[in-house]
Amino acid sequence: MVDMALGLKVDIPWDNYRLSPDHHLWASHLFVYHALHEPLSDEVSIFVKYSLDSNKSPSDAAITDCLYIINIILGARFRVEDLTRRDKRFDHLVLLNHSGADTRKVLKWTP
Amino acid sequence: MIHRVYLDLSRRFQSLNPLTDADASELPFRALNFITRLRNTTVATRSYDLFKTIMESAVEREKKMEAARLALHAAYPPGLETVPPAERDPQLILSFLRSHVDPGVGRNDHAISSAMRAIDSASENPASQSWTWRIEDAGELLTWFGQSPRS
Repeated sequence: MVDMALGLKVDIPWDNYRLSPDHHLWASHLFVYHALHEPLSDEVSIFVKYSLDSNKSPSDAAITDCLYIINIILGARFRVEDLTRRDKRFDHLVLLNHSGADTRKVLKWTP
Repeated sequence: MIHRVYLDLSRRFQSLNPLTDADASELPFRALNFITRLRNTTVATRSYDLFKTIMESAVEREKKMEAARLALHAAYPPGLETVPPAERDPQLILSFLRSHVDPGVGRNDHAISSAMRAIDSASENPASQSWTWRIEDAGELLTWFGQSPRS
């Protein structure tokens, strides 16, 4: 899941995949950040479709993240501070994936 | 945020020019494909409003019907687990229905189901007493279905 959010090609069997509510929320945070960089990527598209599937009963928080993603796709500009729930684990992933200073500036990233 | 998405989509579909905005049309279609997967009363109501906007837009016909199908399906989802919009004027739905039972274009059963749920729901809604539904419309529908190939 993390590899996928970072843009690596990972074959996840979504049809048979079941995320726990906590895992789903965590993953949805990852994909919000991913969408900030690549809003039209296939990975983002697959994840949003999976998350909003009514059969999966996504949590309100995961739905909120998907709505963030949809707004990003439509061109809305968000700063990381706009996301009310932050997952500090992903701050580390952002750092690993985008270690340059420019990325931190764009994302208003604060260590 | 749902309202913001629909406001943005409505503006985009109103302004899309089929001759010049071929590339720009991908974004609203993608967003619409996502947001209409949600099932709640807000999405149903806003999807119906968007359906009307799409049907009255200048978007190229095939793309318009694709978007309209998504919007109407979200407005009147199977099972109607949400509170459906109180439709008062069925003409756009009839126009939509005509486009999907036309034997020359190709019948789309999912679209027909959405339209029939909309008509059925509105027919039972007390707020829809001002419908301009006519018996001729029903007769015309039966004729279409009789002429349409089974799929």
